[in-house]
Amino acid sequence: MTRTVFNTYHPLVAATYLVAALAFTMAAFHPLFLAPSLLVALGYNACLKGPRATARSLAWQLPLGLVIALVNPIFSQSGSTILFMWGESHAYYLESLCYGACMGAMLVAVMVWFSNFSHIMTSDKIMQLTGNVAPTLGLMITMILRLVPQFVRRGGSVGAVQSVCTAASAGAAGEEPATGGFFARKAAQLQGSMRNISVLMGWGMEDSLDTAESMRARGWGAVGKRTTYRRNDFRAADGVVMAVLAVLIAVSAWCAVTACSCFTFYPRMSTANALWWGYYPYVALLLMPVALELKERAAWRN
Amino acid sequence: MAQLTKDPAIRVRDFRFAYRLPDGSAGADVVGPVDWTVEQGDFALLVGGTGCGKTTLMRNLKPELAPTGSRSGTLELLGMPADQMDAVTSAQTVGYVSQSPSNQIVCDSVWHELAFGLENLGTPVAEMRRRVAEVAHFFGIAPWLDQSTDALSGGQKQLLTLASVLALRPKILLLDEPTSQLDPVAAKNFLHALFRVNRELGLTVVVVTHEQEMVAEYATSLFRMEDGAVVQHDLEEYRSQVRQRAASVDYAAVCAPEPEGTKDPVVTLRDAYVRYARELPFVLRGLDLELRPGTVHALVGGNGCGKSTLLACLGGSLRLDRGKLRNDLRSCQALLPQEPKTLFVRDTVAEELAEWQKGCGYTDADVARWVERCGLQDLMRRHPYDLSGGQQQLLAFCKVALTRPRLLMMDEPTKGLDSSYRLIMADVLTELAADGVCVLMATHDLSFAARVSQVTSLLFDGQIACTQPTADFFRENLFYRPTVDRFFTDWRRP
Repeated sequence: MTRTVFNTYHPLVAATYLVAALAFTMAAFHPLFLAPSLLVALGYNACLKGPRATARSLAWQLPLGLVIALVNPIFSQSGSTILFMWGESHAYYLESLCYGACMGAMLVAVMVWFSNFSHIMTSDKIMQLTGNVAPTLGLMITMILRLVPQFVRRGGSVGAVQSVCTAASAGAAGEEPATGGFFARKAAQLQGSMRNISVLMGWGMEDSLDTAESMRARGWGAVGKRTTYRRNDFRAADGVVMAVLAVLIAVSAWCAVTACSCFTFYPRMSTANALWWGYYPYVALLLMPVALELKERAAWRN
Repeated sequence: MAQLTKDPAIRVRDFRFAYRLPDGSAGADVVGPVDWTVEQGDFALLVGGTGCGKTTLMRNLKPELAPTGSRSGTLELLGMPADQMDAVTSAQTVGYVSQSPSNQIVCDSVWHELAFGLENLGTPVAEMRRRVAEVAHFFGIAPWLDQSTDALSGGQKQLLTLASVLALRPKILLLDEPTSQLDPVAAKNFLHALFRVNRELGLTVVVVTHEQEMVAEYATSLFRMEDGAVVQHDLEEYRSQVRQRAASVDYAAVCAPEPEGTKDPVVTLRDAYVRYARELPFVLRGLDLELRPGTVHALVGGNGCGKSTLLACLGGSLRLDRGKLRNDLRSCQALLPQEPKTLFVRDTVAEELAEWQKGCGYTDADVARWVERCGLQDLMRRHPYDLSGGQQQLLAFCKVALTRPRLLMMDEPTKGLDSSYRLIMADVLTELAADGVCVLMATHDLSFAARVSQVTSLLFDGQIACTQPTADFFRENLFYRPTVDRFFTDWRRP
């Protein structure tokens, strides 16, 4: 997991930024709001996970967005600029294509933002945010986070043991019979997976008894209200960043509402901007982590 | 932590306990009558045979874990009756650590696990920080505070459990087989930590264990549970006996004889390179190994040195990055995994043993023979999960052995087994080898390896550091030597 600049701030900062970016991407349906969101999301993703990983996910996200863009005019035949006619009397409109392109861009941007979200908001950050509000929910999350990798690893070892025990393979349900039709093979495979799942379930439940005892032995449920351990407090620097974020979000929200309310795709796309400077606060909001990162790097260079 | 009261840490008077039978009536006494006193600041060692009621007695001392059943007599902890303690007092008076390193951990990160008990008691954040800082410092946990608990080794997990119990500042620590799942180095490490807790902090420590030879070095008193009662034994005498036994070992006499003649190897691994992902380091790098039929071959080495990885390679479930594997017994091999639960799918022991019957064609008589061999006759109708750890291990072993493998690979076959189960396992393995089966066991249990195996390979740094007849191997070792325990002295080669 790469270190991000958000690690030096309270998790609330990261959460606010990411939720704001996601909310604007989903709500501000306007080409000039979507384009910066998509670009920054991709750029940030490349910084977090490396350009290779970003390119790999783009390899399926981009075609998906493209399909949405190209298909939209087939279903929504409205607009004023006809690109070509198809079928008997169907028109393919430019406006409709643009609308589809925006939808596609939004979908890709939201997916990339979610990927950034999961990378930045590590479990301990989420815990810290939920812990104070709902201690039991927070604990549940941390327990699930512990169990999932364990479950996956055990699943692997159950399958591996089954495959190594070739002396038992003829009778083992997991092994497919050499003969038999397609359905017989599939049935055997399914039976094998069911067997592995039942091994895992039994094992997991048995272990949970131990865990429950260990919890009770350490005073689980002893007092009505649990407290939550916090590794970081909310400090002045976090306050400053949060204030800047709040201002940028408020201004961007106002700009987005203004811009979207007087922007139309149909019958003709608007070209006039409601406010010529209306997009800058939004871009500034999106680029805030970059600014923080640069500030930190500058401090280390000198 | 000076104690002002002079009450003993644990005082048990005429205590009896019986589990409730399914029909609601009380069964025979499992424990009792027990009269037992542990003074404050003692490091008490409680030993006894499997199923003698040690665990039941220990659990009765911790109100939250006390089993349901009928009890009589008195149990006092620092002068307080155990059954009248509320949950908060109990958490702050008695800490309990059991055997499984991973099941006792609740949270996903180390720092959260340390704070878990304190959170439960509603401790203010400032106080929590201080306590977590203190225990993390005492146990040297600070460097891995950020790690996920899933990534820790067994030894680290057990230390973490101990630390998170101590964060609650109990006066008495009860430990039930705390080191049985750990490798020897991690076990020593854990016992050192316990020793420090006892001597430096003055906590009373009570350890139930079957690795008594190792723990005796740290203890201040020794108790044995016999016929439901607790009897004090002379610790000094016991210790000198153990030392004497260890000093007078003649490896040539006790180790298995070298296999006669040289049969051709049935499994050959040449220049094996293995890693789990391209970006991860190699676990095995240039490893050569030969296995011969009719031999018990032991694979020893430190924790995480790649023993399990090597077994997976030989079994074919892990692909070699480079190198060559020739396995003539590929179609009739079996693996006994480290965790017997990996094999359990059915609701009773009998069904479990019959799972592979149809395909392998073994008969009911075969099952009966193996069941008797391993002493599982009375358990056939039980659920596999209701068996003790040792019985589970033997059941898994029976299930695998019934498939009549010609190559039997085992990962830590004696982990968590007490002497009586190790004796059975040793007999059976020796017989299998005499029948010409090729047996390979990866193990930390050096006393088992020294007595049972004929050839021993030491795995280190991704390679086989040496392969030697077992007697030569242990005679030449200076640091890597078996604990001379009951099994080591008592087992007679069939």
